[in-house]
Amino acid sequence: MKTLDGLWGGVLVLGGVSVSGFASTDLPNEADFFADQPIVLSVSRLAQPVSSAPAAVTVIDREMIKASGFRQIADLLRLVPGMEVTWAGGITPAVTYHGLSSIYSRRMQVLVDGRSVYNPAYGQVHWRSLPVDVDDIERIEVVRGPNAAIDGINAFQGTIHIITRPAADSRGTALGATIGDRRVGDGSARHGLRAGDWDWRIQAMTRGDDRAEDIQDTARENSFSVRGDWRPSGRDEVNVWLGGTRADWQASMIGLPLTNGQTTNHETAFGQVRFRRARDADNEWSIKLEHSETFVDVNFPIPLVNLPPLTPLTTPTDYNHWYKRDALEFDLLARPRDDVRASLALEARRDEAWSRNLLSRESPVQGNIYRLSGSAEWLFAMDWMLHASAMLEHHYYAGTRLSPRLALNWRAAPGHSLRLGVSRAFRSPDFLEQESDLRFTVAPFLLDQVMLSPYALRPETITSWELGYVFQSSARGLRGDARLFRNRVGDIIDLGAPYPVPGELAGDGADITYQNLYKANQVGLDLQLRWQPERETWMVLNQAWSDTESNSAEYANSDPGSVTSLLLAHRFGHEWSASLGYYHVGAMSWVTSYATTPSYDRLDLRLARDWKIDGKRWEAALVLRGVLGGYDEYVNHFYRLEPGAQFTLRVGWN
Amino acid sequence: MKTRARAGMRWLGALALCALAGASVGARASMWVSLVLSEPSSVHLQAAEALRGDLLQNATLVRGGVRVTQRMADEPAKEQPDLVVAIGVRAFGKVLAGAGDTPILALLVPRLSYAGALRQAGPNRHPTSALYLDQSYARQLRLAKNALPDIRRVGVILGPATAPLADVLEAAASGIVDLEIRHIEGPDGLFPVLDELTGRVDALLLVPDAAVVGRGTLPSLLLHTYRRRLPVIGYSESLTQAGALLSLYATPAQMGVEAARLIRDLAPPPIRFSAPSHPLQFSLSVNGGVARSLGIELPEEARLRAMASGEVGP
Repeated sequence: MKTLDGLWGGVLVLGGVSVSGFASTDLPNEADFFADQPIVLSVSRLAQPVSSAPAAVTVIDREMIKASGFRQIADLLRLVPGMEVTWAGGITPAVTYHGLSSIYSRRMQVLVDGRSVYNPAYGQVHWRSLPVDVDDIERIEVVRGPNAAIDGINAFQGTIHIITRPAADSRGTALGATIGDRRVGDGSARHGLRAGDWDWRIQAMTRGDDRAEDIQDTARENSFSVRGDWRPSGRDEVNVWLGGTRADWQASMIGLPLTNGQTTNHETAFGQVRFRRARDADNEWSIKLEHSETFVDVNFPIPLVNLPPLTPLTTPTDYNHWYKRDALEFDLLARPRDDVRASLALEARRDEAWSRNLLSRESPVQGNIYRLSGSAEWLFAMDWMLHASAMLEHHYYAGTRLSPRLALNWRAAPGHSLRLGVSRAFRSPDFLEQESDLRFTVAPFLLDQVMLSPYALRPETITSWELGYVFQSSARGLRGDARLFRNRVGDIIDLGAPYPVPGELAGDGADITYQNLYKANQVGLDLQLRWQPERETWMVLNQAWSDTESNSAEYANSDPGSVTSLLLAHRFGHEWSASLGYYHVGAMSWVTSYATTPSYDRLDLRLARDWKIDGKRWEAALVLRGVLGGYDEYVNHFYRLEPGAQFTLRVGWN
Repeated sequence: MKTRARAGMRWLGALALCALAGASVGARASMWVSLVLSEPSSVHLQAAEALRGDLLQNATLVRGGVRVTQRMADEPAKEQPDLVVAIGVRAFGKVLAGAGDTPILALLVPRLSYAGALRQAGPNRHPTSALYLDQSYARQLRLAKNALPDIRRVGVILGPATAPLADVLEAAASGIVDLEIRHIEGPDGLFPVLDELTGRVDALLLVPDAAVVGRGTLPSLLLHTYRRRLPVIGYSESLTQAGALLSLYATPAQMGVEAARLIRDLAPPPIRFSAPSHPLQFSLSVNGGVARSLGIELPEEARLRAMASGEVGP
C-alpha cells in the first residue's frame, strides 16, 4: 500500500492533476486516465520492420540466443546467413561475412548499445573481452552488406548491432554458472533495481576455458558492467553505461604468429553517457559521449637467441600496446512530413594508439575523424518507398570520402516486398596497417626489419548491388527473406612483397609490408526463413551461396561457397524445452593462413528445464556440442573443435 | 385625481407583481444545472466548458430553457439546483456528502470509483447516475478483435484497485475473445505475471491501475511486451504515444458534449435518471511505428472507427 501511494503520487504529478480523493484513494480516478505517460517505445528503440528496411537485416532475438546454447557472443553470429565464425585457438574468434578475411577480421563494424567496439588501432574485434553477458543481450541486429551511411565508419561488409536489455527489464537478481569440458567454468551475477528515479543494472561475470587441447590457449576474462536509465520527464531519458574487463590469455593478440608461451594481459574499460529527448513517437534527438581504453601486455617469457660470445641479442620481447577512443555524437530522427522519415548524425572522434615495438616509436599516434551522416525515407506512392542516405567522413588517413546508399522498396502485395539497392563504403587503414614498424635490433645495428608500412595507403572500397525479397505470412507463422548481391571490392590492404631497407643486416628487406594489393568480385544469395507452425515450435533456417573471384588466390578461396545453419526449438509443456542447432560451412581459406580449412558439419543439442519454486525461477540446461564429431576449425588439427558438453544452472528472483 | 393615481399605481403594482410572478414562474421553469469541478485543471475545465457550450447552444430544445452555473467542489454550496453535474471523483464525493436530495450526474468518474463513492457515502437521498469515464470494455475487446483478427486470447492484469473489474470484464468478453485475468498485489508482482501471460495470450488490455501502469512499471511493461511481440491496448492517447498499439478513449470535451445531450434528454425537471452508462463517443489513436515494427497490418483508421462504434454493451 505504501508503494502504491508513492506511485500514485508519481502518476498524479505527471498528470498535472492533484487529487486527494475521498478516503479510499486506491480506486482509479480521472488523473489516471489523462495522465501523461513517458514515451517508451520511441522510434530509435523500435526494431525497424524488415520488410521496409533499406538493407537486409537479420535479427537474433533472445529466444534464438537461448536455444543456441552458445556461451560466447562470437558464436551467436553463426545464426546469420552467410556469416562464418571460427576460432583460431580459444583466444581468437573470427567473424566475417562471405569470406575476405583473416582471423583478425577487420571489415565489420560492431556496436554495443551504439558504441563501436571495433579496435581502430590494430584492426579487429576482441569478442572475448566485451563486457556483455550472453544472457544480457536483448537482441542482435545484423545488417548484411555495407551500411556506412547509417552505421558509420568501418561498416564495410556489414554491421553487427548488439543491444543489451534495458535496466528496467532486468529487475531482481539473477545468478548463473556454467561448467563443461575443456575446463569451461563461467559464473555471472546480475542485479537490477530501481533507486529513486533511476533503473540500474549491475552485472559481473567471469568466463574461462581451454579450447584447444594441443596448444596453449587458456583464457579467463573477468568483467563487470553497469547500466543506469533515468527518465527525468516523460520525454527525456538519460542512459549511462560503464564497464570493464580484465582478461588473461595465453596467446598473442596481434596479427603475428602465435608462439608457445606468449601471454596476453588485456584490460579494457569504457564509459558512455547518452541524453535522449523524444518529442513524440516519431521525432527524437540524442547526444552521446563515450570514452574507452584498452591496454594489452603481450609477453614472451622465453628468451630468444643467445649467440656467444656476442652479448645476448635484445629482441622485442613484447608487443605491448594500448589504444583509446573518445567520441561525441549527435543524432536526430524526425518525421518532417507524413510520408518522409529522416535522420541526421554528426560525430567527432579521436583515436589514439601506442606501441613501442609494433610501431617503433615512443610517442602515441593519434588521429581525428569527423563524420556527417544523413538519411531520408520517402513513401512517394502507395507501396513504394525510396531510401537515400550518405555519410561524409573525414578520416586521418583516408581523407574526406562520401559513402552513399540508395534503395527502392516495393510492397508488391500484403506480406511481400521487393528491394533494389546499391551502396558504397570505404575502409580506412588502421594504425597498424599504416604505421607498422617492427624490427629486431642490437644497437646500433638493425638486424631484421620484420614489418613495415612504407606506403601511404588508400582506403579499401566496396560497391554492393542487391536485390532483396521479404515475405511474411502470419497465417502460417512463416517469414523470411532472400538477398541476391554483387560486390566489387577494391584496393584491399594486405601483406605484400618485401621492401628493401638499407642497413638491414638480414638483407631481405622488410618481410611484411602493408599495401593496397587486391580486388575481388563476389556474387551470392542469402536466404533466411523463420517458421513457427504452432506456439511451442519454431525454427530458423539460413542458407547462403557465394562465389568470389580475385587476383589473389587467397581471397578467392576465402569464400566458403555454401554456409548453412538451422536452429529448431520445441517446448514440451510448461517446463521442458529442447533445441537443435546444425551448422555447415564449406571449405575456405582464412587469409594469411596459407592453408585450407576443410568444410564441416556440426550439430549441437540443448535440453533445458525451467521451473519455479517459492518465487524463484530456475533454469537448468545441458548442451551437447559437436554431436556429429570433431572437426578442424582452422588450418590444422591443433585448432580442432572436439565434441563436448556443458551444463548451465541459473536462478533468478525479484 | 388621487384616487385614479392610486388605482393606476395599484394596476402598475399588480402588473409588476404579475410580471414578477410570471418571471419567477419562468425562472422556475428553466432548468438550473450546476457544474461542480474537483479542481480547476484543464481536464475538468474542458469538460465543463464543452458541457455548458453544448447545453446553452441547444437551450431552446429544453422546455423553459437552461441555466448553467459552475463552481469548484471546495467552494461552499448555497444552492438548490435542479441537477448537479459532479466533474471528477472528488467533486462527486463532496456533493454526495452534502445534504439534500438534488440529483447528481457523475462525469469523468470511472466505473469503479463511482461504485466506490456510493458505497463510501452510505445511505443517501441523492438520486445518482453517471456517464462513466472508461470506454465500454466490450467495445474495447471488440475493437481489438476486429483490428487483430488472429487474436483468440486477451490478457488483463488487475491490481488491488481494479480487482472488482474482473466480473465486468468477463461479461464484456463473452462471445468476443477468451479472457485471461491475473491479479497482482503490487508492482513487484507484475513481472512474474507478465512472464506467464506473454506465452499464453495474443494481446494485453490495460486498465488504469497504478500497480500495473504506474510511472515505475509502465516502461518495463511496454519493453517486456514489445520484446515478446505482444500488442498492448491502451486507454489514453498518451499510452499510444508511449508504445501501446492502439487506444480507445473519450476526451474531456467529448464527455462534456455527451453529458449535455444526456441532460437534454432528461430535462425538464424533475430528473429521472436511467442506469449509468459508458460513453457513446470515442477517440481512437494508433501507434503506426509499433504496428510496423511488430509487422501488424492494421485496417485504416476510418475502418477501425467504424468497427468501434455501434452498440456499446457492458
